[in-house]
Amino acid sequence: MIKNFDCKQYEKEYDEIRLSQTEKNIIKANMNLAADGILKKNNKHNFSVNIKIIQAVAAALLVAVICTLIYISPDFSGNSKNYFTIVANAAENSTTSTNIKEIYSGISTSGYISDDKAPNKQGKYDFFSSFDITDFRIKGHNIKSITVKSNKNFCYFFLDYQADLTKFSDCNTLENSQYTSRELANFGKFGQLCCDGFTYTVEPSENEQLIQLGGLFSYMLETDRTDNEIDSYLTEYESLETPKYEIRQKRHKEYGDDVAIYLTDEEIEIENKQSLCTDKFIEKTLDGATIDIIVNYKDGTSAKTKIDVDYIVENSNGDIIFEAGTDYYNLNDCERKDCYPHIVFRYK
Amino acid sequence: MQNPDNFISGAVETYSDTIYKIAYNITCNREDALDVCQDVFLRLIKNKHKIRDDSHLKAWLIRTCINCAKSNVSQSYKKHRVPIENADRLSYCDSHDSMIDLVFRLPEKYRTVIHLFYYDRLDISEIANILSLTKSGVKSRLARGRTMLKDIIEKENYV
Repeated sequence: MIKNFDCKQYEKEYDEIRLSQTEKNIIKANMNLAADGILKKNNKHNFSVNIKIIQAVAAALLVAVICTLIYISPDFSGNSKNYFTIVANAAENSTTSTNIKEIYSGISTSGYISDDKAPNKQGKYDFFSSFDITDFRIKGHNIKSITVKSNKNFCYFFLDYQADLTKFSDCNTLENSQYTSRELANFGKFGQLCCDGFTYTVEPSENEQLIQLGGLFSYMLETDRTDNEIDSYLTEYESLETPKYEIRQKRHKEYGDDVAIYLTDEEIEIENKQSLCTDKFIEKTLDGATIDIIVNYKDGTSAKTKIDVDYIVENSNGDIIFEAGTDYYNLNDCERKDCYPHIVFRYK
Repeated sequence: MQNPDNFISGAVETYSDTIYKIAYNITCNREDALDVCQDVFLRLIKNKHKIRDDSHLKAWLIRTCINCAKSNVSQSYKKHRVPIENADRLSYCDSHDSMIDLVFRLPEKYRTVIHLFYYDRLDISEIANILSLTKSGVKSRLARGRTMLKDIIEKENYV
Protein backbone atom coordinates (compact mmCIF):
# COMPACT_ATOMS: atom_id res chain seq x y z
CA MET A 1 0.00 0.00 0.00
CA ILE A 2 1.38 3.40 -0.99
CA LYS A 3 1.11 6.03 1.70
CA ASN A 4 3.04 8.83 0.08
CA PHE A 5 5.29 9.59 -2.86
CA ASP A 6 8.62 8.07 -1.98
CA CYS A 7 11.22 9.57 -4.29
CA LYS A 8 13.90 7.06 -3.25
CA GLN A 9 11.60 4.18 -4.15
CA TYR A 10 10.80 5.94 -7.45
CA GLU A 11 14.51 6.20 -8.18
CA LYS A 12 15.04 2.54 -7.31
CA GLU A 13 12.20 1.44 -9.59
CA TYR A 14 13.47 3.59 -12.46
CA ASP A 15 16.94 2.10 -12.13
CA GLU A 16 15.37 -1.11 -13.39
CA ILE A 17 14.02 0.61 -16.54
CA ARG A 18 17.01 0.48 -18.82
CA LEU A 19 18.14 -0.58 -22.24
CA SER A 20 19.79 -3.95 -22.54
CA GLN A 21 23.34 -4.00 -23.91
CA THR A 22 21.92 -5.66 -27.06
CA GLU A 23 19.49 -2.78 -27.56
CA LYS A 24 22.30 -0.28 -27.07
CA ASN A 25 24.44 -2.12 -29.60
CA ILE A 26 21.58 -2.12 -32.10
CA ILE A 27 21.14 1.64 -31.64
CA LYS A 28 24.89 2.20 -32.05
CA ALA A 29 24.97 0.07 -35.18
CA ASN A 30 21.96 1.89 -36.63
CA MET A 31 23.45 5.26 -35.78
CA ASN A 32 26.79 4.38 -37.30
CA LEU A 33 25.04 3.31 -40.48
CA ALA A 34 23.03 6.52 -40.53
CA ALA A 35 26.10 8.64 -39.72
CA ASP A 36 28.00 6.93 -42.53
CA GLY A 37 25.30 7.80 -45.03
CA ILE A 38 25.13 11.40 -43.93
CA LEU A 39 28.90 11.82 -43.78
CA LYS A 40 29.44 10.49 -47.28
CA LYS A 41 26.72 12.73 -48.63
CA ASN A 42 28.12 15.80 -46.91
CA ASN A 43 31.84 15.26 -47.39
CA LYS A 44 32.63 17.25 -50.54
CA HIS A 45 36.36 16.58 -50.23
CA ASN A 46 36.08 12.84 -50.18
CA PHE A 47 37.27 11.72 -53.61
CA SER A 48 37.67 8.09 -52.71
CA VAL A 49 34.56 7.06 -54.57
CA ASN A 50 34.25 3.48 -55.62
CA ILE A 51 32.42 1.80 -58.44
CA LYS A 52 29.43 0.91 -56.26
CA ILE A 53 28.85 4.55 -55.39
CA ILE A 54 29.13 5.51 -59.07
CA GLN A 55 26.57 2.82 -59.93
CA ALA A 56 24.25 3.98 -57.18
CA VAL A 57 24.54 7.62 -58.28
CA ALA A 58 23.92 6.64 -61.91
CA ALA A 59 20.83 4.66 -60.91
CA ALA A 60 19.56 7.56 -58.81
CA LEU A 61 20.12 9.99 -61.68
CA LEU A 62 18.25 7.69 -64.03
CA VAL A 63 15.30 7.51 -61.63
CA ALA A 64 15.40 11.30 -61.23
CA VAL A 65 15.41 11.84 -65.00
CA ILE A 66 12.49 9.41 -65.49
CA CYS A 67 10.55 11.08 -62.68
CA THR A 68 11.21 14.52 -64.15
CA LEU A 69 10.09 13.37 -67.59
CA ILE A 70 6.90 11.91 -66.14
CA TYR A 71 6.34 15.05 -64.11
CA ILE A 72 6.68 17.46 -67.02
CA SER A 73 4.89 15.26 -69.50
CA PRO A 74 1.65 16.97 -70.64
CA ASP A 75 0.05 13.53 -70.93
CA PHE A 76 0.73 12.71 -67.35
CA SER A 77 -2.59 12.38 -65.63
CA GLY A 78 -1.29 12.18 -62.03
CA ASN A 79 -1.72 14.74 -59.25
CA SER A 80 0.42 17.52 -60.66
CA LYS A 81 -2.11 20.17 -59.59
CA ASN A 82 -1.07 22.68 -56.96
CA TYR A 83 -3.05 22.37 -53.76
CA PHE A 84 -2.72 22.45 -50.03
CA THR A 85 -4.86 21.78 -47.02
CA ILE A 86 -4.26 22.19 -43.33
CA VAL A 87 -4.50 18.83 -41.70
CA ALA A 88 -6.35 18.57 -38.43
CA ASN A 89 -6.36 15.48 -36.38
CA ALA A 90 -9.85 14.11 -35.87
CA ALA A 91 -9.06 12.88 -32.40
CA GLU A 92 -7.91 16.27 -31.21
CA ASN A 93 -10.06 18.39 -33.40
CA SER A 94 -13.17 19.41 -31.51
CA THR A 95 -15.08 20.41 -34.59
CA THR A 96 -17.98 22.56 -33.57
CA SER A 97 -19.60 22.69 -36.96
CA THR A 98 -19.03 20.98 -40.25
CA ASN A 99 -16.91 23.71 -41.77
CA ILE A 100 -14.88 24.92 -38.79
CA LYS A 101 -11.75 23.06 -37.91
CA GLU A 102 -9.28 23.52 -35.11
CA ILE A 103 -5.67 22.83 -34.31
CA TYR A 104 -5.07 22.28 -30.63
CA SER A 105 -2.11 24.24 -29.34
CA GLY A 106 -0.61 21.85 -26.86
CA ILE A 107 0.90 22.83 -23.57
CA SER A 108 1.14 26.44 -22.49
CA THR A 109 3.54 28.10 -20.13
CA SER A 110 3.40 31.54 -18.56
CA GLY A 111 5.83 33.62 -16.60
CA TYR A 112 7.95 36.70 -16.30
CA ILE A 113 10.70 37.22 -18.80
CA SER A 114 13.37 36.49 -16.22
CA ASP A 115 13.61 35.51 -12.60
CA ASP A 116 14.86 38.90 -11.56
CA LYS A 117 11.93 40.37 -13.53
CA ALA A 118 13.79 42.95 -15.60
CA PRO A 119 11.48 45.97 -15.91
CA ASN A 120 10.39 47.21 -19.33
CA LYS A 121 10.56 50.78 -20.64
CA GLN A 122 7.59 51.77 -18.49
CA GLY A 123 9.31 50.38 -15.41
CA LYS A 124 6.81 47.52 -15.21
CA TYR A 125 7.25 43.80 -15.56
CA ASP A 126 6.19 42.02 -18.72
CA PHE A 127 4.52 38.68 -18.61
CA PHE A 128 4.76 36.07 -21.35
CA SER A 129 2.71 33.08 -22.38
CA SER A 130 3.88 30.57 -24.93
CA PHE A 131 2.01 27.75 -26.57
CA ASP A 132 3.62 24.66 -28.06
CA ILE A 133 2.18 23.98 -31.50
CA THR A 134 2.67 20.24 -31.72
CA ASP A 135 0.26 19.06 -34.38
CA PHE A 136 0.38 21.59 -37.15
CA ARG A 137 0.63 19.86 -40.52
CA ILE A 138 0.06 20.87 -44.11
CA LYS A 139 -0.72 18.41 -46.83
CA GLY A 140 -0.31 19.39 -50.43
CA HIS A 141 1.24 19.00 -53.82
CA ASN A 142 4.13 20.86 -55.50
CA ILE A 143 4.81 22.91 -52.37
CA LYS A 144 8.15 24.68 -52.33
CA SER A 145 7.85 26.60 -49.10
CA ILE A 146 5.36 27.73 -46.48
CA THR A 147 5.26 31.21 -44.99
CA VAL A 148 3.63 31.70 -41.60
CA LYS A 149 3.03 35.21 -40.25
CA SER A 150 1.41 36.57 -37.11
CA ASN A 151 -0.82 39.60 -37.67
CA LYS A 152 -1.29 40.85 -34.13
CA ASN A 153 0.85 43.08 -31.97
CA PHE A 154 2.44 41.27 -29.03
CA CYS A 155 1.86 37.91 -30.73
CA TYR A 156 4.75 36.23 -32.52
CA PHE A 157 6.63 32.97 -32.90
CA PHE A 158 9.79 31.41 -31.65
CA LEU A 159 11.60 28.59 -33.34
CA ASP A 160 12.19 25.60 -31.15
CA TYR A 161 15.75 24.48 -30.37
CA GLN A 162 14.87 21.31 -32.23
CA ALA A 163 14.12 23.18 -35.46
CA ASP A 164 16.67 22.89 -38.25
CA LEU A 165 17.41 26.56 -38.94
CA THR A 166 18.70 25.80 -42.44
CA LYS A 167 15.09 25.14 -43.44
CA PHE A 168 13.85 28.45 -42.06
CA SER A 169 14.26 31.85 -43.63
CA ASP A 170 12.74 35.31 -43.25
CA CYS A 171 12.66 34.92 -39.48
CA ASN A 172 14.26 38.32 -39.07
CA THR A 173 11.61 40.89 -38.22
CA LEU A 174 10.05 41.27 -34.80
CA GLU A 175 7.81 44.29 -34.93
CA ASN A 176 5.11 42.62 -32.85
CA SER A 177 7.29 42.62 -29.73
CA GLN A 178 8.54 45.40 -27.48
CA TYR A 179 11.86 43.58 -27.46
CA THR A 180 14.38 42.83 -30.13
CA SER A 181 15.02 39.25 -31.08
CA ARG A 182 18.49 39.60 -29.57
CA GLU A 183 17.08 40.82 -26.26
CA LEU A 184 14.69 37.89 -26.09
CA ALA A 185 17.47 35.48 -27.05
CA ASN A 186 19.58 36.86 -24.22
CA PHE A 187 16.91 35.82 -21.76
CA GLY A 188 17.54 32.31 -23.02
CA LYS A 189 14.03 31.02 -22.57
CA PHE A 190 12.43 31.42 -25.93
CA GLY A 191 13.96 29.00 -28.40
CA GLN A 192 16.51 29.84 -31.02
CA LEU A 193 14.91 32.81 -32.71
CA CYS A 194 11.85 35.02 -32.20
CA CYS A 195 10.10 36.62 -35.17
CA ASP A 196 6.73 37.80 -36.49
CA GLY A 197 6.82 35.20 -39.23
CA PHE A 198 9.01 32.78 -41.09
CA THR A 199 9.31 30.78 -44.28
CA TYR A 200 9.82 27.03 -44.06
CA THR A 201 11.46 25.38 -47.06
CA VAL A 202 10.05 21.99 -47.97
CA GLU A 203 12.14 19.05 -49.13
CA PRO A 204 12.28 19.50 -52.92
CA SER A 205 12.08 15.79 -53.68
CA GLU A 206 8.59 15.32 -52.33
CA ASN A 207 5.54 15.83 -54.50
CA GLU A 208 2.60 14.56 -52.50
CA GLN A 209 3.63 16.04 -49.20
CA LEU A 210 2.59 15.89 -45.59
CA ILE A 211 4.61 18.63 -44.00
CA GLN A 212 4.94 18.57 -40.24
CA LEU A 213 5.46 22.06 -38.84
CA GLY A 214 4.29 21.09 -35.38
CA GLY A 215 7.05 20.91 -32.80
CA LEU A 216 9.25 23.30 -34.74
CA PHE A 217 7.84 26.53 -33.40
CA SER A 218 5.76 28.00 -30.59
CA TYR A 219 3.30 30.85 -30.46
CA MET A 220 4.19 33.56 -27.99
CA LEU A 221 2.24 36.37 -26.35
CA GLU A 222 3.58 39.22 -24.27
CA THR A 223 1.86 41.90 -22.22
CA ASP A 224 1.17 45.38 -23.47
CA ARG A 225 1.32 47.24 -20.19
CA THR A 226 0.40 50.50 -21.85
CA ASP A 227 -3.07 48.96 -22.31
CA ASN A 228 -5.02 49.87 -19.16
CA GLU A 229 -7.10 46.72 -19.14
CA ILE A 230 -4.11 44.41 -19.49
CA ASP A 231 -2.15 46.45 -16.99
CA SER A 232 -4.96 46.07 -14.43
CA TYR A 233 -4.90 42.25 -14.81
CA LEU A 234 -1.17 42.17 -14.34
CA THR A 235 -1.34 44.58 -11.37
CA GLU A 236 -3.86 42.27 -9.71
CA TYR A 237 -1.64 39.28 -10.51
CA GLU A 238 1.35 40.98 -8.94
CA SER A 239 -0.61 42.06 -5.86
CA LEU A 240 -1.22 38.38 -5.14
CA GLU A 241 2.45 37.47 -5.28
CA THR A 242 3.29 38.91 -1.85
CA PRO A 243 0.57 37.09 0.15
CA LYS A 244 1.39 33.88 -1.71
CA TYR A 245 5.07 34.30 -0.90
CA GLU A 246 4.34 35.05 2.76
CA ILE A 247 2.17 31.97 3.19
CA ARG A 248 4.83 29.83 1.58
CA GLN A 249 7.63 31.28 3.68
CA LYS A 250 5.63 30.66 6.84
CA ARG A 251 5.03 27.05 5.92
CA HIS A 252 8.64 26.55 4.96
CA LYS A 253 9.64 27.74 8.40
CA GLU A 254 7.07 25.52 10.10
CA TYR A 255 7.43 22.33 8.13
CA GLY A 256 10.59 22.53 6.05
CA ASP A 257 10.91 22.32 2.30
CA ASP A 258 9.62 18.83 1.86
CA VAL A 259 6.22 19.27 3.47
CA ALA A 260 5.75 22.87 2.49
CA ILE A 261 5.92 22.04 -1.18
CA TYR A 262 2.29 20.85 -0.99
CA LEU A 263 -0.10 23.70 -1.63
CA THR A 264 -2.70 24.66 0.94
CA ASP A 265 -6.26 25.61 0.00
CA GLU A 266 -5.32 29.22 0.62
CA GLU A 267 -2.42 29.04 -1.82
CA ILE A 268 -4.54 27.22 -4.38
CA GLU A 269 -7.14 29.96 -4.11
CA ILE A 270 -4.49 32.61 -4.76
CA GLU A 271 -3.06 30.67 -7.68
CA ASN A 272 -6.52 30.27 -9.17
CA LYS A 273 -7.04 34.02 -8.93
CA GLN A 274 -3.70 34.54 -10.65
CA SER A 275 -4.70 32.06 -13.34
CA LEU A 276 -7.82 34.08 -13.98
CA CYS A 277 -5.69 37.21 -14.40
CA THR A 278 -3.49 35.33 -16.87
CA ASP A 279 -6.54 34.08 -18.75
CA LYS A 280 -7.86 37.62 -19.07
CA PHE A 281 -4.55 38.99 -20.31
CA ILE A 282 -4.28 36.24 -22.90
CA GLU A 283 -7.88 36.66 -24.04
CA LYS A 284 -7.43 40.39 -24.42
CA THR A 285 -4.08 40.04 -26.22
CA LEU A 286 -5.49 37.46 -28.61
CA ASP A 287 -8.59 39.50 -29.41
CA GLY A 288 -8.67 39.60 -33.21
CA ALA A 289 -5.40 37.68 -33.63
CA THR A 290 -4.92 35.90 -36.93
CA ILE A 291 -2.14 34.06 -38.67
CA ASP A 292 -1.45 34.08 -42.39
CA ILE A 293 -0.45 30.83 -44.04
CA ILE A 294 1.02 31.38 -47.48
CA VAL A 295 1.93 28.31 -49.51
CA ASN A 296 4.46 28.96 -52.28
CA TYR A 297 4.38 26.40 -55.08
CA LYS A 298 7.24 25.18 -57.23
CA ASP A 299 5.84 26.93 -60.31
CA GLY A 300 6.10 30.36 -58.63
CA THR A 301 2.42 30.73 -57.75
CA SER A 302 1.16 30.92 -54.19
CA ALA A 303 -2.03 30.51 -52.17
CA LYS A 304 -2.96 32.15 -48.90
CA THR A 305 -5.32 31.43 -46.04
CA LYS A 306 -6.00 33.16 -42.75
CA ILE A 307 -6.35 31.34 -39.45
CA ASP A 308 -8.09 32.72 -36.36
CA VAL A 309 -6.45 32.27 -32.99
CA ASP A 310 -8.69 31.72 -29.96
CA TYR A 311 -8.02 31.09 -26.31
CA ILE A 312 -10.01 28.30 -24.71
CA VAL A 313 -10.52 28.35 -20.96
CA GLU A 314 -13.51 26.04 -20.70
CA ASN A 315 -13.51 22.28 -20.82
CA SER A 316 -16.02 20.22 -22.80
CA ASN A 317 -18.46 20.40 -19.86
CA GLY A 318 -18.40 24.18 -19.97
CA ASP A 319 -16.44 24.49 -16.71
CA ILE A 320 -13.65 27.02 -16.42
CA ILE A 321 -10.25 25.35 -16.47
CA PHE A 322 -7.79 26.60 -13.88
CA GLU A 323 -4.09 26.00 -14.04
CA ALA A 324 -3.88 25.73 -10.28
CA GLY A 325 -6.00 24.01 -7.66
CA THR A 326 -7.37 20.54 -7.34
CA ASP A 327 -11.05 20.95 -8.18
CA TYR A 328 -10.76 20.44 -11.88
CA TYR A 329 -8.53 17.41 -11.78
CA ASN A 330 -10.07 14.40 -13.30
CA LEU A 331 -7.00 12.28 -13.12
CA ASN A 332 -8.39 9.31 -14.97
CA ASP A 333 -9.38 11.25 -18.02
CA CYS A 334 -7.61 14.55 -17.92
CA GLU A 335 -4.50 14.41 -20.02
CA ARG A 336 -5.11 16.94 -22.71
CA LYS A 337 -7.20 19.88 -23.67
CA ASP A 338 -9.82 19.51 -20.97
CA CYS A 339 -7.14 19.99 -18.35
CA TYR A 340 -5.37 23.12 -19.44
CA PRO A 341 -6.30 26.44 -20.93
CA HIS A 342 -5.01 26.38 -24.47
CA ILE A 343 -5.24 28.16 -27.79
CA VAL A 344 -6.74 26.79 -30.96
CA PHE A 345 -6.00 27.77 -34.54
CA ARG A 346 -9.36 27.86 -36.29
CA TYR A 347 -9.49 27.49 -40.04
CA LYS A 348 -12.19 26.86 -42.60
CA MET B 1 38.62 16.46 -34.49
CA GLN B 2 36.67 13.78 -32.66
CA ASN B 3 35.85 10.69 -34.70
CA PRO B 4 32.15 11.06 -35.59
CA ASP B 5 31.50 7.35 -35.08
CA ASN B 6 33.04 7.52 -31.63
CA PHE B 7 31.09 10.65 -30.81
CA ILE B 8 27.74 9.02 -31.57
CA SER B 9 28.68 5.68 -30.01
CA GLY B 10 29.94 7.51 -26.94
CA ALA B 11 26.75 9.53 -26.69
CA VAL B 12 24.65 6.36 -27.03
CA GLU B 13 26.72 4.59 -24.38
CA THR B 14 26.60 7.52 -21.95
CA TYR B 15 23.13 8.92 -22.40
CA SER B 16 20.90 6.25 -23.96
CA ASP B 17 19.61 5.06 -20.59
CA THR B 18 18.82 8.61 -19.49
CA ILE B 19 17.04 9.31 -22.77
CA TYR B 20 15.22 6.00 -22.70
CA LYS B 21 13.94 6.63 -19.19
CA ILE B 22 12.71 10.12 -20.00
CA ALA B 23 11.04 8.81 -23.15
CA TYR B 24 9.45 6.01 -21.14
CA ASN B 25 8.24 8.54 -18.60
CA ILE B 26 6.38 10.41 -21.35
CA THR B 27 5.27 7.57 -23.63
CA CYS B 28 4.56 5.09 -20.85
CA ASN B 29 5.56 2.37 -23.26
CA ARG B 30 8.91 0.64 -23.72
CA GLU B 31 8.68 0.16 -27.47
CA ASP B 32 7.75 3.77 -28.09
CA ALA B 33 10.54 4.81 -25.74
CA LEU B 34 13.01 2.79 -27.80
CA ASP B 35 11.72 4.43 -31.01
CA VAL B 36 12.10 7.84 -29.43
CA CYS B 37 15.61 6.96 -28.30
CA GLN B 38 16.65 6.08 -31.86
CA ASP B 39 14.97 9.18 -33.21
CA VAL B 40 16.86 11.38 -30.73
CA PHE B 41 20.25 9.96 -31.73
CA LEU B 42 19.40 10.27 -35.41
CA ARG B 43 18.70 13.95 -34.80
CA LEU B 44 22.00 14.18 -32.95
CA ILE B 45 23.81 12.93 -36.04
CA LYS B 46 22.24 15.71 -38.08
CA ASN B 47 22.83 18.37 -35.45
CA LYS B 48 26.11 17.40 -33.86
CA HIS B 49 27.79 20.53 -35.16
CA LYS B 50 25.53 22.49 -32.79
CA ILE B 51 26.80 20.70 -29.70
CA ARG B 52 29.24 22.81 -27.69
CA ASP B 53 30.27 20.51 -24.85
CA ASP B 54 29.14 17.58 -22.73
CA SER B 55 26.70 19.53 -20.57
CA HIS B 56 25.18 21.10 -23.65
CA LEU B 57 24.97 17.65 -25.23
CA LYS B 58 23.04 16.29 -22.26
CA ALA B 59 20.64 19.24 -22.18
CA TRP B 60 20.18 19.04 -25.96
CA LEU B 61 19.46 15.31 -25.83
CA ILE B 62 16.94 15.71 -23.02
CA ARG B 63 15.15 18.58 -24.74
CA THR B 64 15.05 16.73 -28.04
CA CYS B 65 13.90 13.56 -26.30
CA ILE B 66 11.01 15.42 -24.67
CA ASN B 67 9.96 16.87 -28.01
CA CYS B 68 10.23 13.54 -29.81
CA ALA B 69 8.38 11.72 -27.04
CA LYS B 70 5.56 14.29 -27.03
CA SER B 71 5.31 13.94 -30.76
CA ASN B 72 5.26 10.16 -30.41
CA VAL B 73 2.48 10.34 -27.81
CA SER B 74 0.57 12.69 -30.04
CA GLN B 75 0.88 10.24 -32.95
CA SER B 76 -0.21 7.30 -30.79
CA TYR B 77 -3.11 9.37 -29.54
CA LYS B 78 -4.12 10.08 -33.11
CA LYS B 79 -4.04 6.45 -34.04
CA HIS B 80 -6.42 5.58 -31.20
CA ARG B 81 -5.14 2.07 -31.16
CA VAL B 82 -2.82 -0.02 -29.09
CA PRO B 83 -0.87 -2.96 -30.50
CA ILE B 84 -1.88 -6.14 -28.79
CA GLU B 85 1.70 -6.75 -27.70
CA ASN B 86 1.50 -3.55 -25.65
CA ALA B 87 -1.54 -4.64 -23.74
CA ASP B 88 0.58 -5.92 -20.87
CA ARG B 89 2.25 -2.54 -20.62
CA LEU B 90 -1.03 -0.76 -20.51
CA SER B 91 -2.09 -2.88 -17.62
CA TYR B 92 1.28 -2.21 -16.04
CA CYS B 93 0.67 1.54 -16.37
CA ASP B 94 -2.76 1.17 -14.90
CA SER B 95 -1.70 -0.90 -11.95
CA HIS B 96 -1.23 0.86 -8.66
CA ASP B 97 1.56 -0.89 -6.91
CA SER B 98 4.64 1.15 -7.73
CA MET B 99 5.87 4.71 -7.61
CA ILE B 100 6.32 4.72 -11.38
CA ASP B 101 2.67 3.75 -11.86
CA LEU B 102 1.69 6.47 -9.45
CA VAL B 103 3.64 9.10 -11.37
CA PHE B 104 2.21 7.82 -14.67
CA ARG B 105 -1.19 8.99 -13.45
CA LEU B 106 -0.04 12.60 -13.65
CA PRO B 107 -0.43 14.73 -16.77
CA GLU B 108 2.73 14.74 -18.85
CA LYS B 109 3.94 18.20 -17.93
CA TYR B 110 4.03 17.36 -14.24
CA ARG B 111 5.57 13.93 -14.52
CA THR B 112 8.36 15.21 -16.77
CA VAL B 113 9.38 17.80 -14.20
CA ILE B 114 9.10 15.27 -11.38
CA HIS B 115 11.24 12.80 -13.30
CA LEU B 116 13.94 15.32 -14.16
CA PHE B 117 14.04 16.56 -10.59
CA TYR B 118 13.83 13.33 -8.61
CA TYR B 119 15.46 10.86 -10.95
CA ASP B 120 17.87 12.80 -13.12
CA ARG B 121 18.67 15.07 -10.18
CA LEU B 122 18.70 18.18 -12.33
CA ASP B 123 18.37 21.40 -10.41
CA ILE B 124 15.54 23.87 -10.92
CA SER B 125 17.47 26.16 -13.26
CA GLU B 126 18.65 23.26 -15.44
CA ILE B 127 15.07 22.02 -15.78
CA ALA B 128 13.91 25.56 -16.50
CA ASN B 129 16.43 25.87 -19.32
CA ILE B 130 15.62 22.49 -20.82
CA LEU B 131 11.86 23.02 -20.71
CA SER B 132 11.97 26.73 -21.62
CA LEU B 133 10.21 27.56 -18.37
CA THR B 134 10.90 30.07 -15.65
CA LYS B 135 12.31 28.76 -12.39
CA SER B 136 9.07 29.60 -10.65
CA GLY B 137 7.23 27.70 -13.39
CA VAL B 138 9.30 24.61 -12.64
CA LYS B 139 8.76 24.99 -8.89
CA SER B 140 5.07 25.43 -9.46
CA ARG B 141 4.86 22.27 -11.56
CA LEU B 142 6.80 20.34 -8.96
CA ALA B 143 4.48 21.59 -6.25
CA ARG B 144 1.35 20.86 -8.23
CA GLY B 145 2.63 17.49 -9.31
CA ARG B 146 3.25 16.49 -5.74
CA THR B 147 -0.12 17.81 -4.64
CA MET B 148 -1.73 15.76 -7.35
CA LEU B 149 0.20 12.66 -6.29
CA LYS B 150 -1.07 13.18 -2.77
CA ASP B 151 -4.60 13.55 -4.10
CA ILE B 152 -4.32 10.39 -6.18
CA ILE B 153 -3.14 8.42 -3.18
CA GLU B 154 -6.03 9.72 -1.11
CA LYS B 155 -8.66 9.35 -3.81
CA GLU B 156 -7.58 5.87 -4.75
CA ASN B 157 -7.75 4.85 -1.11
CA TYR B 158 -4.11 4.07 -0.92
CA VAL B 159 -4.28 5.20 2.71
